[in-house]
Amino acid sequence: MKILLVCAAGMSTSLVVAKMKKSLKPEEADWVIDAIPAESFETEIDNYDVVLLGPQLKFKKNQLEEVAKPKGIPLEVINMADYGTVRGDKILEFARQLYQNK
Amino acid sequence: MQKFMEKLEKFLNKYLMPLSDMVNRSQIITAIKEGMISTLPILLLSSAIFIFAFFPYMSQFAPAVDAWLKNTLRPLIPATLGMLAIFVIFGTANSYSRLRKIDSLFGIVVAFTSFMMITPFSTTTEVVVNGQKVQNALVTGVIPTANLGATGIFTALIVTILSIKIYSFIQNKNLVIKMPESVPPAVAAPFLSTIPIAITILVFLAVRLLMELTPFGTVQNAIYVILTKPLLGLGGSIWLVLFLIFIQQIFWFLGIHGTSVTLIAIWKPVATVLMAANLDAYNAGQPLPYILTWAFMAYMVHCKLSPIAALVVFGKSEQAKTIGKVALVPALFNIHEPFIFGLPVVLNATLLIPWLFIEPLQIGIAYLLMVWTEAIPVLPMPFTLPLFFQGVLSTNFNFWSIAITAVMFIVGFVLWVPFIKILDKQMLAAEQENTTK
Repeated sequence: MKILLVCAAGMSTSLVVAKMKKSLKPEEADWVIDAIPAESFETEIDNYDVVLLGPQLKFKKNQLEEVAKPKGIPLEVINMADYGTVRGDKILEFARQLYQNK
Repeated sequence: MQKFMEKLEKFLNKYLMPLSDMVNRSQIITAIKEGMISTLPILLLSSAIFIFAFFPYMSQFAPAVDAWLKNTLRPLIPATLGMLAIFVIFGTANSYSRLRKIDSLFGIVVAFTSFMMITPFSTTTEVVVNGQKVQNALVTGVIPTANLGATGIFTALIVTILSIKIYSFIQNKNLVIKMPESVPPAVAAPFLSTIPIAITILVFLAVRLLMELTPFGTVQNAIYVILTKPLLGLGGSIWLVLFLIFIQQIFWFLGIHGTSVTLIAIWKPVATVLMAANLDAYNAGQPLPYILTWAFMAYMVHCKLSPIAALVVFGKSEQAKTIGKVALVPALFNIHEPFIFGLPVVLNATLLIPWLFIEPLQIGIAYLLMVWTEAIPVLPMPFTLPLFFQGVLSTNFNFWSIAITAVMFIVGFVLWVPFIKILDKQMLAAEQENTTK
């Protein structure tokens, strides 16, 4: 699975990405997890299966969903507390569920 | 209190969310923002050149090396910083074309040509003929570089947005030369854009000719007098910055990335022009024309380290200790989301008052100290550079910047401590209640 995290500059989210990668199971070793700034969202989205949004960008959700929905790519805002405490394991689990439920 | 917070959240969601959505969805603001962001590599490069060309104390200790560095590196400045308006055209046109769904190559072509259409290819200046100075000589066959640097940025933005608007309007009206389907697309594409490009450029020719009838003479001059000058005055005002910071804090309190909808969306375009004008003056060895520019971010980026440090020093509850641990290191690199969303600051009534007022106060103090000590940041820095380095490098080794950064941090720290202690007590009480249950 390929997971895309979007935030304002791609900086704070890269912290989360590092933690998420640590929580990957051995059989998930080939998964791709990347962080990008919102500006490059439209050019990058096609390469991913799931999109997670930093909570600071929840106001952009509707706008980004207009792009993601027609492509059938699930997009959700990360839980604020998990994001703030950089709980890579919980956020990864959230991504797995999103992917399964799509 | 709970009720008040709910009301406040509802009120802010009702009025602020649509506003941030509007700022965010406006294609023009997005294009301008992305256009300005695209100049970052050029600005950082020129900033690195400045550090070497004006290496501190080099002119006293090794004048030969200093002169060699200056002579070798200086040609880089007019080709990068001196052409900033052109880079702004490329970046903005590229972004705006994408948003208007037209081919971005032709978007850039039409924007650049329209800009050149209103640029005079002559200048009135002082020249030397046979060793004699001649005043007010008209030189033709040149493009005055003054129009292509920092002061040309507003003209560049206006022309780019208008020209692509006209271009895409005509193309959508289907006023195009259509080729039979057997013609390969690569051959047909230039024909498709011929009429829209031609009409757009003719519009700007008409504007140029009309402007020649007015006292302004050129479009560049008119935009400078009517728009650039007043905007630069406003953009250089500390009150505008403090107001935007206050609004930024409200947005963050709601969990929205406040910096990107206030400082970056509204202030950055103007502040970048101010910064580039300062860099030009600095390069020419002239006094700085502006005090407050985008480079001032070197002092602004680390304000939120103060409450995080207070949390680490005084936090006794589990929550405070956990968040302090997660938030401290990113905060040294000016990333504060773990603190804002982890503690959380978002919708946390205990923290509302300090959150709204301490940061503007820190920045106001920094501004006063900066004016007083003349430790004015000139060079743009990447925002993740840790505090102290930000100030020292941005002011090109003015060591007053260390004192300013320290004062900002300490004032913020001292003011935050009582509020952090109250919050910590609340969290501690909640934790004890949970364990006894």
